[in-house]
Amino acid sequence: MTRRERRIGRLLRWYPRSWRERYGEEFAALLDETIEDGRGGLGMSLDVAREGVVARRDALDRRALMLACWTLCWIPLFPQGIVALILLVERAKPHSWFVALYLPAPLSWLLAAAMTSLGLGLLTAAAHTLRQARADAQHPLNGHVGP
Amino acid sequence: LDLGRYAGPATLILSSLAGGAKHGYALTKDVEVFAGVSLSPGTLYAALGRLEQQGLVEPLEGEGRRRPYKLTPAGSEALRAHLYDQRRVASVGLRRLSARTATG
Repeated sequence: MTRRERRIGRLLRWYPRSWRERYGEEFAALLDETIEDGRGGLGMSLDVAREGVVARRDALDRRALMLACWTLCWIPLFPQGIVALILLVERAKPHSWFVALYLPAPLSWLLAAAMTSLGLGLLTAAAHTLRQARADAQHPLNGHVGP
Repeated sequence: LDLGRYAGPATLILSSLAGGAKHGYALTKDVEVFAGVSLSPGTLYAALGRLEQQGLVEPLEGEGRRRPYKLTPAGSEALRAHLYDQRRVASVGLRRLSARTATG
């Protein structure tokens, strides 16, 4: 591996893996030509580093969103939603965990239904984010996967 | 063109691709010739990625390690609208400047 190739490899590491899988090869070609052209100085490195950090932040945002939805959706969906609904049907006595059971009749049903919807909404959002991330990774023009 | 701080590079990229599909290096060279602006690789690919997400440019089959991009019909439309807006602003500014010069 030449010195230039090692430098390009280091510059590429500023970017998140998902970005590198999609753009890495063509971006490395552009960096190679830019350096060949005598424009690969400190200014280029700083520009690459800055945009790499921005791309990492964008990628992290999506992953963080998916993790947050995936972690939190179970709380409204089960204990505060479906289980509370079952307890309402069963006319069970109020229990410390189930917020809806502390409320009078119409409100308790409404809250339990709202919690179930919220849980389902968060679960859908997590699934959607994951599907989008997978679709991006399996882009038909991506790296070695030919169209 | 709703591209925040990438609006400048995006206009240059779309204007370059309006003349035909190009890969990153050819695009940089072309922009340098017609606009006198040197786009750094990081900035170029950040703007290109956003344009691709918005469906304004489209990647083509790779040529070796390079990958050319072409303008989509939506990209042509967005560029045309944006350039007409810029032209309107430019002509108002120029007219006011010449009125100012005339009145001393």
